[in-house]
Amino acid sequence: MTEIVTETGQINYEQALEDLKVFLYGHKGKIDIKLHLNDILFYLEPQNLLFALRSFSLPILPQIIRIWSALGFKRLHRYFQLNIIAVVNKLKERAKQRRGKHAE
Amino acid sequence: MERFHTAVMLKEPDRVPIAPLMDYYYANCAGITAKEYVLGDFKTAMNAVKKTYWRHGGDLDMVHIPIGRVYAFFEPFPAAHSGFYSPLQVPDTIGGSLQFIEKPVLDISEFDLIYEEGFSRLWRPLPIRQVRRTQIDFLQILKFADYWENQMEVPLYTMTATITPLETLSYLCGITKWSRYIHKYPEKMQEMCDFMIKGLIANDLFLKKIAQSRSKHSYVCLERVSASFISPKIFETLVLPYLKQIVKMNNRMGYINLFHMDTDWTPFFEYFRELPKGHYILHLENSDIFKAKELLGDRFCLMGNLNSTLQKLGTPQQIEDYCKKLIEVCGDGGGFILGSGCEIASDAPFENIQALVNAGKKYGPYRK
Repeated sequence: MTEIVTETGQINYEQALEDLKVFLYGHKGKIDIKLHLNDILFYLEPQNLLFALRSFSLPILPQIIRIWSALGFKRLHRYFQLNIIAVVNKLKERAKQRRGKHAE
Repeated sequence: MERFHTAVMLKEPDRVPIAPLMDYYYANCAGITAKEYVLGDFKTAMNAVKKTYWRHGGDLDMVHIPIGRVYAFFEPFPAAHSGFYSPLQVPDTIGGSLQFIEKPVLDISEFDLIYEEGFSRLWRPLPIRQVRRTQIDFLQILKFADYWENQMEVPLYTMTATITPLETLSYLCGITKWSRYIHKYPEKMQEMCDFMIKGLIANDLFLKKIAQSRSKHSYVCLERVSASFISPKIFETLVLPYLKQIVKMNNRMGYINLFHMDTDWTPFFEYFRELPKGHYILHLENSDIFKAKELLGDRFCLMGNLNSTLQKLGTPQQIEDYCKKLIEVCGDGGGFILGSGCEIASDAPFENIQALVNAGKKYGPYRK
């Protein structure tokens, strides 16, 4: 088994992202990591935009920069794809499947 | 922050830290319902924590993030009571707490499908708008952490959470089936645990990186794999090897292993001596904490263990007497944090919890 944190504390992020993906979506599961137009529109709705802006405050800016520098854009982007975007898309897909089943 | 961590390092701080774990009690103390606390604006929950802290005189040496809301909509990993897998009920009453409705969602015959399609296969329908909004909430959690850790210098109980695979399976399979599976199909359960541990560790790793918590407590949920539920043999084969893997990662990342140990662990204490060197907090509920001090006190910081019955039904005097005993025995030589067994009962009377705080202040100072 490949260890994701070595004895010296080095982190194998690629392995960690792969482990995360396999756990949630399996060896053969399909994932949709595209940010769809209706998702973007959701964030642009005035109440949600306000909500996001209110959540985003000055004290957390240094924290976000720290996260960014700890993980780097590519890994952070991949993490968000797997744990945020794909989650929403999978929920939508499952809701669609369920509606299809009910229609039958 | 310093007081708490001195105790974790098994030394004597100026006084025993007073750190009862609170979650829904914050709502009760602030006079809002569990529903407002879990499903309302994050600011409402954040203010409930602040209000509770100050109502108790600013003497609490630890606070906790409003975890119920994270469980409800944010956690696609089956860490304990995730709303992605099982329905959760949130009462609209003061003094209530979130209820996890345990329904089996996984059968052993479906394990192969999980290997192929992953645990997202088990997600139940959730309101997508709520999921998205809770994802945004994470920014507020960062703000909350910054306020307490950096501005107030009060450590957080935890910002990350992981769980042993076997325990996760108990929530997914339901306790009855799960008990049968571990005796009838131990190999299949072990195979599934091997599959799960990698993902659970990876999830925890990213949470640590994203949360960037100064307290560096790594919460490990140990509730249903205690001696109250399983035999030593099952613990040796289906729990301990995975717990060691979790601990190894925490140690390598410089984190404190915070074991949240509900129910009774006393018969399993000897196994904890097998764990590698590192920093630990054993947060005990119904275990014999005095025996833990005797057997494990040289290596493990102990936390606890005013139980929920005393919190809710005891008198302030009974609480003071028990806390005094805890401080005298477990606090001897350091390495002890005065707290609750599990968390403070959501409907505990304020004066009872204040009795715990007062006892910490009265009997907790170390003579230098």
